[in-house]
Formats: sequence, structure tokens, C-alpha cells
Amino acid sequence: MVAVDTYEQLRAHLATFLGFQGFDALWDRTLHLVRRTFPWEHHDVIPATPSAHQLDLMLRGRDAAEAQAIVLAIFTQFLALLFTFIGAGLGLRLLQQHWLALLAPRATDSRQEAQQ
Amino acid sequence: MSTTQRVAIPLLPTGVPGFDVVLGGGLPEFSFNLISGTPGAGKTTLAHQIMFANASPVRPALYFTVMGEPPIKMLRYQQQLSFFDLAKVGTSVRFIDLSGLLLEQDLSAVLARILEQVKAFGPGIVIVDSFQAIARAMSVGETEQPDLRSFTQRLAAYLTSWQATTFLIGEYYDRELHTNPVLTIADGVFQLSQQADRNSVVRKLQVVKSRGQAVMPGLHTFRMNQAGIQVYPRMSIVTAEGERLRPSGRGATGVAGLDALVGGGIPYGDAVLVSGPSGAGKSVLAAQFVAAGVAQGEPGVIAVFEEHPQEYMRRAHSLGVDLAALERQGSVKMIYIRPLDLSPDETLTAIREAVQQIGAKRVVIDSISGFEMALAPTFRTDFRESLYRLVGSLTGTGIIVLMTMEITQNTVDLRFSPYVISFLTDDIILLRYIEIAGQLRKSMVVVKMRNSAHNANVHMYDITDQGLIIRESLQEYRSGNADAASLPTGVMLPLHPGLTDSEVIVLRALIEQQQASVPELLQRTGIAEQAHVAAALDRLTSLGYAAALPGDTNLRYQPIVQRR
Repeated sequence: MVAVDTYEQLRAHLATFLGFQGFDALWDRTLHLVRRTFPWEHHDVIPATPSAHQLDLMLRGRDAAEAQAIVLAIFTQFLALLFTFIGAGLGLRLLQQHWLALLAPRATDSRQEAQQ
Repeated sequence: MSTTQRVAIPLLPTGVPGFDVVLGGGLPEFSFNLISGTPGAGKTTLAHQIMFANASPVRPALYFTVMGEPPIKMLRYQQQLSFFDLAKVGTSVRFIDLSGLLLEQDLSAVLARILEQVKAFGPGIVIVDSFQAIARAMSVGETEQPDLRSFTQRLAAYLTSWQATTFLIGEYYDRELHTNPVLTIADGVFQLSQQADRNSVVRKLQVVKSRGQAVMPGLHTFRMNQAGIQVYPRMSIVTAEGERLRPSGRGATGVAGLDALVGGGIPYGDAVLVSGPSGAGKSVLAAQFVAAGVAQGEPGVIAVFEEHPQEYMRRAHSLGVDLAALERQGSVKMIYIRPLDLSPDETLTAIREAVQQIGAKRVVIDSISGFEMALAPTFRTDFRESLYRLVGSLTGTGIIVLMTMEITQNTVDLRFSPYVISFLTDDIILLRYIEIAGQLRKSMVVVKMRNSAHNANVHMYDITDQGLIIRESLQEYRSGNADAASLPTGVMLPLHPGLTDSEVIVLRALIEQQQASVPELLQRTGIAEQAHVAAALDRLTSLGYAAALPGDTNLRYQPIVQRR
């Protein structure tokens, strides 16, 4: 799932300087804020600790449009929260460096798909 | 080994104003350093400032965070400082968090990760914040210290070999610092502290250790603001009196009649104390002194501690000295220093920078009492030493320093200052009030001119719209009080009864000049109206005190008074 892949790569990248604890704390706060707009169903089975599995469970069973809206809300909220703390200038700069890296595997996949 | 074979150790600029001076030129390249201090002392800021000053894409800086301040908070606050260059982050400056590694694995994993990153990026600067967290993780008890030593040794050896200049940051207290094995291994140890005294806080930096460097010893004050850290090196006591650089020559005082009293002007490199009660004209004299310097090509710096510069300049202007114009033309620089937590070295730095900026040859400190009040309480106890260093470092380069001091006038004691500071002044000019014929008048006496002849007579002076002007000597007055041998006491009776004040002033000027024209007397006396001078001369001539000399267009007068 693209959202889960993006989450994992974003976490690995940002944890370089924020630490995994720092990233997870921000992510947890993000989900708390997004949840006001998109309450999770089956929240009793979703683990409290941020993880790829947690995100996967949150999106499971939703239709494509709803899942897309939630993913968009989560990542937008996460970036907004990150920028609140370290500013858009520094935040974008830190993200920019790995933005291409985040997109690169999918670009490769697309080419491979095209070749097939 | 000959001198030519010795390895030269390049010094890196710290990017911290004043710190390079303390370090004897900069940081030795590839050195392994410890920045220690109590919480809030400025360790992280110091490290960041050094890092941003030296990091480049070719030789980046790696900033490892280990269980210290959460990185997101550190980045949030540090970017507020002007040296934090966003454009360098990610390329020249890389932040790497190791907290999780320390929590989940062990120190060997931390060391391996540091070395892996160093190999990958080839940094010129490496910072580990906080190293104390590593030490604590290793230290179950005191017995674990050998492991810390081993870990530190490996880290130091590796980072130095990989040509990185390293900084470990730790919240160490004095007692910990001296038993910490890191101290032995580190090439440099920089200790930061902040001390509260009454309502003020003073930050201090000490270079506890620096291998191969002739560092400046002692505690140096520093200030933290939006620009980061600025260190104010503690200036050493100036060279011995006999070795001081003393250019020959004298500088004009700018006060009509005063140059003659001080032996022809103030010798270059002298420290002058102008002492007197409130309203006596100390600041006017100081302003005239600076303006006179400008007139002879000697720019001047005025450090004011009490009055706002605008008010100071306005008042000087009303008394004939346009300091604002002189400042606009770059010949005068005014410094207004008023915080109540200053260090003497901070003041000295501000003055020295101003001196260098305009090439000043004269400095006014107005006033010493204001300067003392501006200092943090902790420095007031050794105020005399501070003043000695301040004055000595300026006069040692040939600058004339004029200081004003407000004193309370009394009739039983001849004091120049509340402090015993006459030892650091070469010249002392004392201003006093005296009562003459029912009027309170101002008097001046040159008490001391080191190694220079001077007129020791008490002279009257007036503050006119042309500034301060010296009048007649009090030698020419009879004392109305038999016990009035001391300066301030007694009722002085004029020797020229019947003359008005203006007539006496003109007569005194005429006696001093021997002969003079009306314009010359106008300038010398400071009397505003030419008609008043002419009228006084008419009356003096009619009473037989003066005589007009035969002439064509510009009539001149001479005194015919018998001096007693």
C-alpha cells in the first residue's frame, strides 16, 4: 500500500534527525487530531503505538475515496504539525532531500509496469 | 627537531565573536573538545554557532543527539538564532539522532553508528550532544569509569584520525568535571556557567584546558542574544607604567584658558579625572574636550551611562558644542550603555570597537558612577580593578581618557571620588562651588598632572553659551574668613569693588591677554553680546582699569590694573 510505504520511508528519513521517538510522538499527535474528522471504526483493535500496521488497520475496510481522504488528511496534518515546531523553511528543506527518494521506487515501478 | 620541521596546527575560527581571542587565535583543527556547563549555560548554542561557522558541503558537520534535548525542540529554538543558516541544513549540516539506538541497543551500537556516519560524510566538525547521556548509560556505578575512558579514547582516536574537530557536550558541574576521565582525554575543555547575584545574572566562560594553545586565562563574560554568543575577553592588566606607549605631545582641552592651567594641554595617553558636584559642568567640559580633539584631527568616543545620547547632545549643543554634527561626519561616536548587568569587559569591548571604528584618539567616560551602576553587582566589588583595566588598556595605546565623577561637595574634606582611584588617573581636575560676594560661583583647580608642570591656582569659571570658560584666579581675591584656607570654604571678597560681573570678566581677560581687541575679548570671555563687551571696556577705561591703544580700524585695549 502506497500510504504505508510512504509512512515507513518518511519515518525512516525523519527519524534520522528527530529520532524514532520524536517521529512517533508527532505521528501520534497527528492521528489524534485527524481522528476528530475521521473517527476510526474498530478502534478497539487498532494498536495505540504508531506503526505501519496501525495505519494499515485504520484504512482497512474503507472505500478508496474515503481512504484517500484520510491519508491526505493524515499527511497534511503531520506536515502542518512538523512545520509548527520547526518552521516551514527548515521542514521543507529536510523533506525535500528525500522527497525524490520517496518517489523514486514508485517511478521505477511505473516504468517497469509500462515495460510489461 | 628544527622549527621548520614542526607540524603547524591550523586554527579554525569559532564564529563566536571574542572567543577566538580567548583561545589564542581559534580552535586547533582536529582537536577533541568538551563543552561543559550547567543547564541553560549556552552549551548547545555555542556548539551550533561553531558548527554553522565551519560547516561546508565539502567538509560538513554532523550533529549527533543522544538523550539530550529532544531534536525537534532543539531545531525549533536554535533556528531563531541568526547564525542558524537554513540553507546549510541537510547539506553542510546534518542532524542525526542516536537516542533510540542507545535505548534499544548499547554503546557499541552508538559508536558504530557514529563511525559509520563519519565515514559516509567525512565531516570537518562532529558534535555529540549530550555526551553526558552516554556516560550515564555506561555508568551503573563509579566502578564503570574505566569503560567510559575506553569509549572516549576510541571515539577520540577515531574522530581525530578521520580529521574531524569534535565537541562533546555535557552538563557537568565543577566537582564532576575534575574527576571525569573525559577531561584527561580531551584536548580542549570549555566550561560555561551562569551566576545569579541579587537580581542580575552573569554568564561566564572559562577555557579550562587547551592543548598546545596559549589561551587567555580567567573567567570571561559572555552574552547570549538573537545573534548567538558574544564573548568579552577579560583584558589583562596593562603593561607596567614605564613600558606604556606614550606618544609625545598634548591635546587641547577645548576650554578657553584651561590649556594654560594644565601645562599646555593634556599629554597623550593620560587618564584625566574631572571631579565635581552636580551641575558643575563636567559633561560640558567633556564635550568640549571631544570637540577640540576633532578640531585637531583626533576623533573621539563618548560613553554615556546616565543620560540618553539625544539629551546629552541637545545639552551640549545649547552650550556651543554640536556633537550631533560631529557624529554625522564620523568624527565622534556616542555609546549609550545602560543595562544593569554589564561586565567591565563588555563595556571595554563596546568602547574599543567604537575606538577602532572611527580611529578615536580620545575617549570620554561620563560618568564613572554611572558606569559602576551599569555593572552587574558581582563586578561592583572589584570595581577599581575593572576600572584600572578599562583605563589602562585605552591609555596604553596613547588615547586620552577623560572620566567624569560626581562628588558631594563638603567643606571639611577634599575628595575627588568616592573610590580610591587617583592611582589610575594621571591628571585630576577638581570643580567646586564657592561663595563670592553673596553669589555661588564655580571654581576649578588642577590638582594633579603626572610628570607635568601645571598651574595649581584655583580659578573661577563660567558655563556660557560658548561652553565652559576659565576666569580669573582666586589668588586675586581676599578671603573673608581667616580659617578659609581650604578650597570650598569662606566668603571671597573681590579686589575690584564697584565693578559689575561683566566688567570684572572683561578686565580679567584683558589682564590675561595683556592686550586685546573687542572680538578677541568676546571670544575669550564668552559674553554673548559685542555691545556688552564694548560697554564694559568703556567703563573700565573711564575708571582707569584699562586704556585704549592707538590704532586705525581695530581698536585694542590693555589693562592698567596693578596686580597685588
